[in-house]
Amino acid sequence: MSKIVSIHSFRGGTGKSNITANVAAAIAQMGKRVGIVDTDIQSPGIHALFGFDEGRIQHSLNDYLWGRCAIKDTAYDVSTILKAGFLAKGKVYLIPSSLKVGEIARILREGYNVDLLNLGFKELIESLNLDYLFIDTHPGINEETLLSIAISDQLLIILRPDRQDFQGTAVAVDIARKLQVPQLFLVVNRALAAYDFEALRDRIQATYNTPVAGILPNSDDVMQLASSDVFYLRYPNHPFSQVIGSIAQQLVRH
Amino acid sequence: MPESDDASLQSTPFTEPPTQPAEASSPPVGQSLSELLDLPEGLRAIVQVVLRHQQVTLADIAAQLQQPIAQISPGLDQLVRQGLLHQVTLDNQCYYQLGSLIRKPRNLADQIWEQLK
Repeated sequence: MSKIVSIHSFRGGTGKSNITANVAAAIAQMGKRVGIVDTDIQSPGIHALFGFDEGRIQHSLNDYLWGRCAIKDTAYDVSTILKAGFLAKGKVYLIPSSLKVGEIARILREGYNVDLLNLGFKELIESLNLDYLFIDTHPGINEETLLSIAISDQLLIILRPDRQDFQGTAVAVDIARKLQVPQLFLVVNRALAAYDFEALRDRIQATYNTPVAGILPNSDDVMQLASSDVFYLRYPNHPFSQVIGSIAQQLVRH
Repeated sequence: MPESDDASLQSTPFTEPPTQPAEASSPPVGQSLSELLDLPEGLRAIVQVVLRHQQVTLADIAAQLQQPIAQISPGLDQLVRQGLLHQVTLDNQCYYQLGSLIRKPRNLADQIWEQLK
């Protein structure tokens, strides 16, 4: 049974795309077939973690939404990022959004049929035989986000230990509850080493009445990689990667 | 879920959404998904079942929501009237699917859009 996992944050800059790529890769390393759709059409970015730039994207999600190609034509097999020992089983497919200014502007100017996106998700799952479809959303609330949340089996809401994030997360959790997401988790990113992680976890769980799947430490090493690779795969024993692995385990277990 | 089969699509004016549309020449027309948030809980639950399964019968929806058909039916009718759901008939069986939900176009001065082309 395939699962749709959406990764969302109410505010931008929480590390949402980075966490999406890392958790998706960790699940693929378990031998699962994973797809990642960049529905952050207004400000796409997750492609960078897989070494993609504008020149490598022949067909994007935008092309599908405008009827220029089938959704499977927008899926790029990026499984070579996985470690050699896992290549035979796990698969990672990336469905990027366009980086071209004119194409981003066209989506904003003309809109599109949201149901087409929904159909595209289902087609991807079937045609690529996916175990997991990850949806990297645009921060805040828009149509892509609402659709992603509404059809998700699991939703990760990312927040930083920051007052603005705390307030925005309350809104995101409220929407997720309204849309009856079966499994909702919070992930705290960029927690300073000085914090008491267990106390922070308890406080956040109590505030939102939602389980915290992991608290990711603020890491210069992650910053230094600067989204040029999937950190979990390059440094699997790093404390950041340990938490990523734990989050992936929880998603698979539920 | 039934296979798509245009030849057996019997009802009008409702039509099945294309899996690969012709390239849009004009902005799509329909309602925003944000209306989902304003619906009463019972109606929202119905739309969500349809969203997740794409094409479902009244009996499927009732089973998913674990409610009697008689309780679901008025809500479904209301959602069809509102345009959030559409009915299609396939092999004499009535199915419900999403209506025309769109990402609404943004309003900006034409000269700004021209600069961004």
